[in-house]
Amino acid sequence: MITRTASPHTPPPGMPRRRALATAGAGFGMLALRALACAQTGTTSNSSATTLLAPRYGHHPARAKRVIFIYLPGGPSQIDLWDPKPEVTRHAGKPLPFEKPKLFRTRTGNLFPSPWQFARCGESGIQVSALLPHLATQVDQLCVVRSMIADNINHGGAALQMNTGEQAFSRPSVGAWVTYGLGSENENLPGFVVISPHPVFQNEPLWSASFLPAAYQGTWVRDLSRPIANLSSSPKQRRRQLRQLALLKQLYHLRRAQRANTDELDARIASFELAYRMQIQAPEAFDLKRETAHTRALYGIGNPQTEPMGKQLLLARRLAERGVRFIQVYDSSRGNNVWDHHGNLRTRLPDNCQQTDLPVAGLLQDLQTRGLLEDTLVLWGGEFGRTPTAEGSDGREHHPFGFTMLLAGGGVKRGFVHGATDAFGWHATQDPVHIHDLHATILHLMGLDHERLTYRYGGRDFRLTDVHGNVVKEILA
Amino acid sequence: MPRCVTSVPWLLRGLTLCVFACLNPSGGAADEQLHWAFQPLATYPLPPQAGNTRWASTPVDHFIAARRRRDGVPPASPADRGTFLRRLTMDLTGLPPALSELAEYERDRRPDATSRVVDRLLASPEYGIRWARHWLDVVRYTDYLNADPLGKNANPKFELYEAYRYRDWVIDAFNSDLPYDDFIRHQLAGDLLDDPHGGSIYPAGLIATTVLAIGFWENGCADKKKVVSDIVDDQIDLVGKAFLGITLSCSRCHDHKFDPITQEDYYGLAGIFYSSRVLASVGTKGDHTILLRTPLESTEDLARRQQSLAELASVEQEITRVKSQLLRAAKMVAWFDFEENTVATTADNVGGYLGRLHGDAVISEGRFGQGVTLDGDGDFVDGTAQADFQVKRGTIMAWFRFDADIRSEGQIVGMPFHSTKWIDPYYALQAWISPDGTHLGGQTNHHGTRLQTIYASSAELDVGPGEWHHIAAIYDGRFVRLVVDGRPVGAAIDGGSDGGGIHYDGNPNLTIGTRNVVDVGNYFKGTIDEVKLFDGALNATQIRAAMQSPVPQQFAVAFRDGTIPAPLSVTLEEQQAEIARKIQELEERAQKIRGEFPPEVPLAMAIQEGGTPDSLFPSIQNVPLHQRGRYDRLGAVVARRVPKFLPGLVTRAITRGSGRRELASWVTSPNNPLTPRVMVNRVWQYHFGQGIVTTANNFGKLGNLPTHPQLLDWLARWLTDRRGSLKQLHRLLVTSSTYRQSTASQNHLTHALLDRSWARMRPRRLTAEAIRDGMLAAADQLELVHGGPAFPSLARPRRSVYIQTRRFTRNRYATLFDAANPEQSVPRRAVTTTAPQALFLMNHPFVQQQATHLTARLARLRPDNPTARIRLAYRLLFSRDPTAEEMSLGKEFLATAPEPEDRWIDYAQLLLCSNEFFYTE
Repeated sequence: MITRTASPHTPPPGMPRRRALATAGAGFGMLALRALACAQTGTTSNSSATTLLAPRYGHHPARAKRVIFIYLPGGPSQIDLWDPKPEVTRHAGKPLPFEKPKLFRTRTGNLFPSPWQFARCGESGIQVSALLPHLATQVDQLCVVRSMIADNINHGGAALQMNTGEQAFSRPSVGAWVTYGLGSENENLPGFVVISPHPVFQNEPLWSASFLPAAYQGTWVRDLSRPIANLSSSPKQRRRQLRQLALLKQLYHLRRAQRANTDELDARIASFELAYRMQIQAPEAFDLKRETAHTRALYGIGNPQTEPMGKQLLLARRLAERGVRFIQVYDSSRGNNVWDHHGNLRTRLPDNCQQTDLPVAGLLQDLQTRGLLEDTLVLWGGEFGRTPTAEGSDGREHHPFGFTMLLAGGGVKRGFVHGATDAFGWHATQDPVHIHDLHATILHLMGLDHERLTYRYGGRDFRLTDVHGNVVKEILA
Repeated sequence: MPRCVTSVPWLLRGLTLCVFACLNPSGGAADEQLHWAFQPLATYPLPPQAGNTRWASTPVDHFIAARRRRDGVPPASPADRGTFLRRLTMDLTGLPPALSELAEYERDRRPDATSRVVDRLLASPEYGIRWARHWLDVVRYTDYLNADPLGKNANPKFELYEAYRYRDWVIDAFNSDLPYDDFIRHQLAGDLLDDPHGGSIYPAGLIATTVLAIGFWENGCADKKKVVSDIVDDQIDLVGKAFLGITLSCSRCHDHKFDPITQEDYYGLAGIFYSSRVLASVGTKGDHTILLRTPLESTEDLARRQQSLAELASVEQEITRVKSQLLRAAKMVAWFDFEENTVATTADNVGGYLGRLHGDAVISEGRFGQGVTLDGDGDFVDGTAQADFQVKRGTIMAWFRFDADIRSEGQIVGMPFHSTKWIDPYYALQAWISPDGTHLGGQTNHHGTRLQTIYASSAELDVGPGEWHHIAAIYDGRFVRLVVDGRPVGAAIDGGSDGGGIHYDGNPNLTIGTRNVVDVGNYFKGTIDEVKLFDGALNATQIRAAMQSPVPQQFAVAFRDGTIPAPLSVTLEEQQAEIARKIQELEERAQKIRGEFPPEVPLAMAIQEGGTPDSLFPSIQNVPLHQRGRYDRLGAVVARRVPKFLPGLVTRAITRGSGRRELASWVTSPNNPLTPRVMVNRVWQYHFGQGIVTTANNFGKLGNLPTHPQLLDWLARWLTDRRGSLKQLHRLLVTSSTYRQSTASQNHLTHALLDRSWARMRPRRLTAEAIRDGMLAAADQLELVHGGPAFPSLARPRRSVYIQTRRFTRNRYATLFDAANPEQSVPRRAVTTTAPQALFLMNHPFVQQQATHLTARLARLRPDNPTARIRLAYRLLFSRDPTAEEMSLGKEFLATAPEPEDRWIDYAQLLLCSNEFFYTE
């Protein structure tokens, strides 16, 4: 008989679980390994959160311990923000001088130069649009990838690909893979948190655990004031709960001796104790009022324009500090797809920039001040970019052929530009970075090998990057 | 585009091709090289008994005992009755046993007691609910994409509104023990089945194919050709995983790397699904695809529905017409006769309202008894504002005698529609006299803009000063009329008529002798008597009666526009009874017609023959192989056919129809060994917590080997021999000694060994549905109402299978307790234990409510005895009595509570949270 599951190790007797995990050597911690083996093959039926989310080593030393992914739904316009194209200005109103790809939604018109000026900023001299004066001050922290490519031209499929690698079917998201690979550093908080005040295109499949155990599903925080469901805030209630938990435990122990395997039952009792502690610790983790006035101002809290994004990002930083592994921040406080500028680009793009520029710059500064930027990977981008040609008179269409993403912190080069699009900003021509490559790079920075981080489901070993993906070595610091 | 990841070399391709090249219809030696799961079902004799020969109670036990003996493990002792009943009831219905069921089973010591319980449970409609949910996991069942599909950002046209019919069909199929091969045939080709009752369409068949339309594929895609190929892939994947336990879709891009499924096999199958459609259209570029909706009525029925609808419309029209003839009593709502007065007031005879006399108005001799005399210089009477005066149609009337020197436009009596604006444009109805008394008028005025009046020359009417005359102004909803001295003198149509009658801004007044208290000059001069207001349009005959004093207070008045009814030949009551009878007759007719058809044509998201319109393959056709799975790299055309890897089965090219019928025949063929193996394994898994093959969706090379291969084949054949009766399979499994074992440990043996040998039962955590349903049942709140569209709320106390299964905004509760993720086929749910679950149990209102209800139930049944209440709680939740220690711990908890009022609720809640409640043992 062939068994394809790794056999469970047993920690030496008397060895505390946490220590056992820490000494388990390279690869996964043993408990986690067993839990995963169980989840995959069903050799035993339970996987407790304690084992699923226990922290574990990756395949190689990590450059980043956590990720903050600032997602701008709809597709921000690279040609107006990060990828200046003087040739487009020179040929304004003329047709694109070469044939557009077969994949299109609506036929766009002629070349539409950016209405905004670019300036060289910082010591690196990277060009930044006038729309982003605050990020311009942080440009020396940024790694600007100007040659991103994706395969899908619609929000649904493209957003799915940016988050899961797959355009059409259900797959685990990057955050789920990372948490599966590394667990979480804080057992009192979820390992993967998604901060999105409103639903976005596709929504939960974007942070799905899919076939991975449900514990790796992103925890969707909609209401920033109540980010974790079902926390009791009443001290009287908590006093009653203490008594309840005591009896719960006593009653369980009366019957425990008769059981053959008490691991999962023990874990369940422990989960109540953990839950009780979370009630005390989680509100603190989420309480933005504990920040100084200076910090709040840094994120633009107090200004109605910048406050929504500022609060999302400040919450993200508090979670990052407390060991949450993967935090995704969707810019959705003003609705779904706000970066989808098919029209009114001249007014809407400045609005979107004004609402996010200062908070994002604030986050970078804050992380740096606290020494967190070093091992926190920050990403900024959407599912695609926008065409250098005009849709109508004041809009741009979806553009997956060459767009920009920003990376910062955790192991990437600073003040660095990677890749380029052609003179007219259509195709990524120099060092193109496919979404699969981005995913491979994120995993690499987190200490995971995208070809070895696999999960068996339905008779196949799945990975985030499917059969694709190359780590973009050029951007590694 | 999914591609398989592997580092294992392509071991089998050459080998399997060789094998199949050699195959002959009768199988043969080459079979030996086939992967075990693809080999025909073997026939095994029951292993001989040894040792304790009385242990086995079903053939299943023989196989289990044989293996267990090899492992050197004794069986566990049987579970006690309560534990066993709870396990059995949960497994078959998803609910805990009722108190009476527990008591009965404890009492019943006859040898067939268990068998009777099994009969009862399998006959319960709750059985279908429990087992349908297992199946729904396997087929990625979803009935909503979004929580609020009609919300402002949502796109309802893509919603899966009719999916619930499929869920209800699956429940029915389990409850009616639809043979498993029919169950499959319905889902793959139900649209092609004949109605067993001879109807021209077969709704259950159409509904069953919904399973092919509820997959997760990217919608809103610009690349519609890819979407259609993704739909086909989803369907092939479903057929493979759900029915056959193999990963057919691995061959979309290349030959299967482990199983003998070629890319040609895949495109033979793909042709079948490309020749069918679940889309009405691919939709516009970048927007959602549009799902096909098939009416669940035959064309004849649809034609008859049209006929019925037409008939219904005419009946409803007739009802409206007859209703308009209904006469009702016009009541007198005001009557000032000036007989009871003080210096400043005069009393009304209907409601006792006190009218006020203004100016020099004095009571004097009137037409009948006394009247009021006004001097034309600021005198008037106001009848006070009353809600009762808000008549929609009405008649206002008075006797009057004007003085020869009348000079101003005096109103005799009138009613403004505004509570305070007693100025002409605000008068809804008035009887009026011109200066010099040369003209009389009736007037209506709707909000000052729609004025219609009529005039009548007083000279022509023989009305002069110093004489008593009677005037009545009538508004019947359309016409304003004037009747003088009981004779109709004129009418004018109210151009601004609204069907609803007069509209009021506040309670109206009756003003007598003026229609303008603001400007000087509009005052009546003379005497007025017998001012009356009726809430209906009276005709002249009726007015002649109403002129008298005293008068009958009611008149029959028709609510009909435009005509004043003739005097009645029947009494009001008779007329009303007659109309009511006619209306009832018509309503019954309408009701009967409505009963023939539901209000809207019921629809199903069924599959249909013929390709997707505007796609690459818009008709029934063979399709080319897609190189690397890409529709834009087409290779040679492959004939529609079923895969060739199973020996002894027909795989001829399909030439008529899409081929789904042939596909269903292949899947359900008695010679197809996968189908029954996969299903008996699923049933085993849901009863025992783990399958004989632990990878329930994958029996291929990469799946796990069966732990008891002989038992698996024996069960598969057993099921086939019983024409796929799943109820009989349940009975076989749950009456076995294997299933009867307790979960207890055996000191010296590891649990891994016990589990492998099935030398005990595993404790199993309840499913998300069973946790919620179990709490509702214990709290006596569960409503066993079945079927219909899914609802969003956790709080509604129906079974959890009826809560929405959503894909884009998942139900929090379902996610929390490991319900199947509806994005794809889930062969077996994970069981996780997390702190957020504990938080839910500690703090969510749903749990607190059930604890409160449970407390109330305990108090209701055992009002004054804490011992009895604790015992009752244990029996309700755990199907057993508490031990002495548990009892005393419980009592101590209750006795020492700092907040005594909630102590029972706290106690009930912690029992609901306990491991024992959450697991079946």
